[in-house]
Amino acid sequence: MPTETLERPPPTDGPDPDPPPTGPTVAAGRVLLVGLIGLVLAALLNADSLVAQAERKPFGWSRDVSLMVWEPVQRTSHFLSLNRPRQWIDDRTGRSQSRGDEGFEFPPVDAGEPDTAAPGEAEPPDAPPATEPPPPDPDLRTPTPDDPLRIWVGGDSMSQVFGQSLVAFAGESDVLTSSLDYRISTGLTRPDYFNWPAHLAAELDRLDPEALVIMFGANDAQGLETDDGQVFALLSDEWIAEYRRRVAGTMDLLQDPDGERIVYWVGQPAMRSGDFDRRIRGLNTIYREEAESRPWVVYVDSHAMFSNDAGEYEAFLPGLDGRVQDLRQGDGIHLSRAGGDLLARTVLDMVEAEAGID
Amino acid sequence: MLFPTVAFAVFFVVVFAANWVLRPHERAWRWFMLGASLYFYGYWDVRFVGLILFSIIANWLFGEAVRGALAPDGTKTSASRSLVGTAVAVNLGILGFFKYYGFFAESLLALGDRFGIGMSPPLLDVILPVGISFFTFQAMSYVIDIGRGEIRTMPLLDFGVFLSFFPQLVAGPIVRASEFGPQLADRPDPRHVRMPEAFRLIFRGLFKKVVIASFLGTNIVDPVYANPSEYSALENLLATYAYAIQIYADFSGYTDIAIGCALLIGFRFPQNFDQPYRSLSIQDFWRRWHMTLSRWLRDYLYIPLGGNRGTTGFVYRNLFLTMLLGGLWHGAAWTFVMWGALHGSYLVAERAIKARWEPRGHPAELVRVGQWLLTFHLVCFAWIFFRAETFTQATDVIGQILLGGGTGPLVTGLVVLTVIGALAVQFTPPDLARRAERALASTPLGVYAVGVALAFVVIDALGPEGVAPFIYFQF
Repeated sequence: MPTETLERPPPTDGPDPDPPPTGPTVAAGRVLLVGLIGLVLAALLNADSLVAQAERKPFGWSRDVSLMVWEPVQRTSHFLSLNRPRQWIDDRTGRSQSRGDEGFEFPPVDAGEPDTAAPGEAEPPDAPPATEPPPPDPDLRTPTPDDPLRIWVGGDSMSQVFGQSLVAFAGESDVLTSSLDYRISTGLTRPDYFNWPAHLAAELDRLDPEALVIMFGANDAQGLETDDGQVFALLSDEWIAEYRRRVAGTMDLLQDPDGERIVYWVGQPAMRSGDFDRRIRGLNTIYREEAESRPWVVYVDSHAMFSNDAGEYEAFLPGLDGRVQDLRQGDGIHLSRAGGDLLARTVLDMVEAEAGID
Repeated sequence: MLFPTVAFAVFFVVVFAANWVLRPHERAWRWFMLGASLYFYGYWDVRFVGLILFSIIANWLFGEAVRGALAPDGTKTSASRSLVGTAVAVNLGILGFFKYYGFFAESLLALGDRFGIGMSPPLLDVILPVGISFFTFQAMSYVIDIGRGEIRTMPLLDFGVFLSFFPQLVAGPIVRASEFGPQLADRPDPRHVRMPEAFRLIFRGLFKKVVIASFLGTNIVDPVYANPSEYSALENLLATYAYAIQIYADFSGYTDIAIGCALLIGFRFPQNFDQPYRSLSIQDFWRRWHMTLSRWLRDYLYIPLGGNRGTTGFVYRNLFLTMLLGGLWHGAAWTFVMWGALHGSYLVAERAIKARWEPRGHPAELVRVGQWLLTFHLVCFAWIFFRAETFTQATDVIGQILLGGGTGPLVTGLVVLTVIGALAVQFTPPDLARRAERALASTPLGVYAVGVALAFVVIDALGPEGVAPFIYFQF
C-alpha cells in the first residue's frame, strides 16, 4: 500500500523480505522419498480419521474408492498399533467423544410397513389406536418477560445465516429467548456422520424448547444406507420410503406429549442448479406431506419465498425492507444475510402470532 | 482444490515428481505445468478454465501489440499508451463484471429508491470465479510493464504457465512477470531443492490455517460477529482481536503454503507477510501486510496518480484514493470501502502528524509501546468493518465494546492464550526460523520423514473436521 516512502526501496532495518537463496538443500529424489515416507506414515497414524472422512462422503464411486484405499491402511495401522498416538490426542482433546451419538436409531413411525409413497402421493397416516387418548392440540403459551418463550433453531449449514438472524431478532424481544445449533454438512441421510434425532432428543431434554425451528435437506440429496446395510439411490422408491420414515420419525420425536411445543419445519429454498432444485423440490414435498399430517408441525415454504413468479430460483428479490437485493450467497445455495433476515422474520412472525405476542 | 486436503497431497506428489523429471525438457515441462495448473483450477469449477485461458490469450496478444507499438528505442508512443489503456479497461471490465456487478446493481437500485427514481438494471446472478482478482492483477502488470519498456514479452506458453501457475493462482502472492520469467528461463538444479525451508513454510502455513484460524473463527469470531448485541463488551473486543489473528493466520497461512510448494518445484515467490502486527505505524503495517498487493497498488495506481509529487494535498489525495480502491479490491461491499477509507485516513493523518512532529532520534521504549498499541488498535478498528457483513453489524460491535459491559462464556482461557500467543510470535527475531533451519541442516532425512508425519497428525487432530475455504479466496 502507498506510504510516504513508496518510491524508495524497502526498509533495511527489518528482515529481508526476499532473502538470497541460501540455506540447506536436498536432492529432489530424496525430497520425494522423504515426502512419500512422511505421507505414508501420516496415513498410517491418521488412518482412523481418513476412514471417517471417507465414510462421510456421499454414497457413490468416490466414497467406495476412498474406503477401498483407506480401510486396508486402517487395518495395517491397527495391526501395528500406529493409531494409538492419534487416539491419545483425540482422547485428550475430547474429539473421540464427539461422535457419541452413534448407534441411535431413527424412531419408527409405527409398527407397520414403511410408507413407500412417492412425494405427492402420501396417504394420511392411520388414525391412532382407540386405546390411546387423542393428543392435545399443540399451542404456544403467551410468554412474559419473567418466563420468556424458549426458541431453538438449528439444522444444517442452511440454518446458519438464517438462524443467526432469527436469534438476533428474538434478542430484540424481552419475551423470547433463543439458541442456535447448526451443524455443517449434516442432514437426515447420514446419521453415521451426525445423528440428528439423537442430538435432538438430548437437546429436548436439556432445553425443552417450545418453538423449534428446523431446516434440513441441502445435504440430503444423496444416497442413504439403512440400519441393515442396504444402500438406496437418491429418490428411488426405497430411498423415498426410508427418508420419509426418518423425517416422520424426527417429527414424532419432536412432539411434546402435553402439546406445548410447535415445530416449524423450514423447507429448502429454490436452488440455482436446476438439477439440484428438482431434488430439493422432492424433499420439500416429503416435509410438507409429513407436516400436514401432524398438527404440531408447521411447514414453512421457503422455496416460494426465494423464487420468481415462475417458481424458479431468483437471487435478486425484495428483502425485508421491500428493496430488491441479493438474497443468496455466491454458491446459489445458501442465503445471504438479507435472505436470512427475510426468512427469519417470516418464521418469527409465525411464532409470535401463535404465541399471541404483539 | 484446497491445499489442506488429501486430493492436493496426491496432486502435489505427482506434480513434484513430474516437475523434476520433465524440467530438462523445456517444452514438455511447460505443457505439463500448464495442464497441471488448469486441472488445479478446474477442480473447483471447470467452467472457469475457459476464463483463465481467455485471460492468458487476450493479455498475451495485448502484450505483443503493445511491444509492436513502442518506438524503436523502446519508449512509449500514443498507440502503445492506448493499447495499454485498452488492456487495463478489458481486464478491469471482466473483473468488474464478475466481482462487482451485483454490488453496483444493488447500489443503483438503493439509490433509485432513495430518490424515487425507478432504476431497473438487469439483475444477473453472477458467479465469482476463484482467484480472479489475483490473476487479473498479474495479467495487467505484465501488459503495463511491457508498455513501460521494463520487461520483454514472453512466448505464449511461458505466459500461460506464469498466469496459471497453481501455487499462487487463487490467492497470491501477486507475482510479476519480471520475477517469474527469469526463473522460468533458468533451470534449477535438482540436487539443491530447499526442502527444509519449504517444509517449514508449508507446515507453518497449514498450522496457521487449519488450527489457529479455524479455532478462532469457530469459537469466538463467527458467533460474536453474527449477533454482536447478544455478547458482552469483552466478548466483542476479544472477537475483534481474534479476527485480526484469524485473517492473518488464514491469509499468511495460504501464502506460506504457496511459497513452500513453489520452492519445492524450484521457484521462489516474493514474501507477502512480515510480522505485520509488530508494526509501530500504519505505514509500517502496510510494508508488512499483503506486501505484493501493496507494491502492486504503489506501482500501478499510486505512482500513476502522481505519487509523492505535487502539493501536500495532492499527495494526500493520492494516498487516500489508493487505499480506498485497495479496499474495494477486497470485496464488493461498502464495508470494504470503509475499511480502505479508514486506512487511507490513517495514512494521511500519520503523514500530517509526522510532518509536523517528526520524532528526533530513537524513541523511548515507552513511546514505542504506545506507538505499537495505537497502531494495533487502529488496525483492529478497521478490521471490524472488514469482517462485518453490514454497517449496522459493525456499529453494533463498536457499540457493544464501548457500552456492552461485562464478560461472557466465549472469553475462555484458550481463546485468550491463542490470541496472545499469536501476537507474541510476531515479536520473535525475524531470522529465528532460518537459524533453526541451519542448525537442523544435518538432521537425517528419516527424522524429516517422521517429522512430516507427526506434523500431519497434530494439524489434523487439532483442526476442525472438514476444511473451510481460505478467507482470501473470495477476494
